[in-house]
Amino acid sequence: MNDFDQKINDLLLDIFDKILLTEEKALRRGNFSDISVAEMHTLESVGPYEKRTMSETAATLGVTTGTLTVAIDRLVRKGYVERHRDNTDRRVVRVALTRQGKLAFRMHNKFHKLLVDRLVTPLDEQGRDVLRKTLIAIDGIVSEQYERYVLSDHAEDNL
Amino acid sequence: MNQDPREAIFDKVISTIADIAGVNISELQGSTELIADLALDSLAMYEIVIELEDVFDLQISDSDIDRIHTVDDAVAYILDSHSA
Repeated sequence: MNDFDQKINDLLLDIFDKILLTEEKALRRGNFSDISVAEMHTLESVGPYEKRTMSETAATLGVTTGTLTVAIDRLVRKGYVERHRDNTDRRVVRVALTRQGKLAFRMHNKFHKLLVDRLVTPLDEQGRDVLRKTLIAIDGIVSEQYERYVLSDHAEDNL
Repeated sequence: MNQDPREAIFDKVISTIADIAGVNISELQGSTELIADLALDSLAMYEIVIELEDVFDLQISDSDIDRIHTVDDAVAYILDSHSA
């Protein structure tokens, strides 16, 4: 790797690590210290309004329904999620956020909103456009790797 | 006699805010500022928002929350959402 590539690599790893660490610390210090970042992201995938099926939620998170069931069990015990039987098909279980879950979801969203505001506010129109295009390119490359490694693991798990 | 819809919404809004802010309803007016006058933090603001969403069957986005400063703002928002 040349100096430029090394710098890009260091920045990417540093951003990834610090966002995760800051999210974790913010949760620990706040009103929702009994849930982890991973659990918070499960709450995000359930979403604040619709009652979603387990398979829809698992697909959003990119995990198997078996993995999700374990995570949802824990969140139900902690009072953040509740299970409902589908009104039209009693075999289908839907999940929804409790009031505490909605509150955690909202507070966590605020954390992300502040982060994006701090990043975007000082930029002019051109700067925002460069940032958007760069992030889309990074997302495209990371998504390719994600599909290659993570989704192929799930396919093997489901065999 | 039927209650004026705005008045009915106003009554529900101040009872929700009074409950969560821990103040008496008589202390609240249309011009009461939720953050400046009641010193509500973001957690309490979200509690109010979630309760209003439930009571009025609404979805209130974060950018809409940024525009709600007073009790009257909340009432106007709910009236607008119901007439939309």
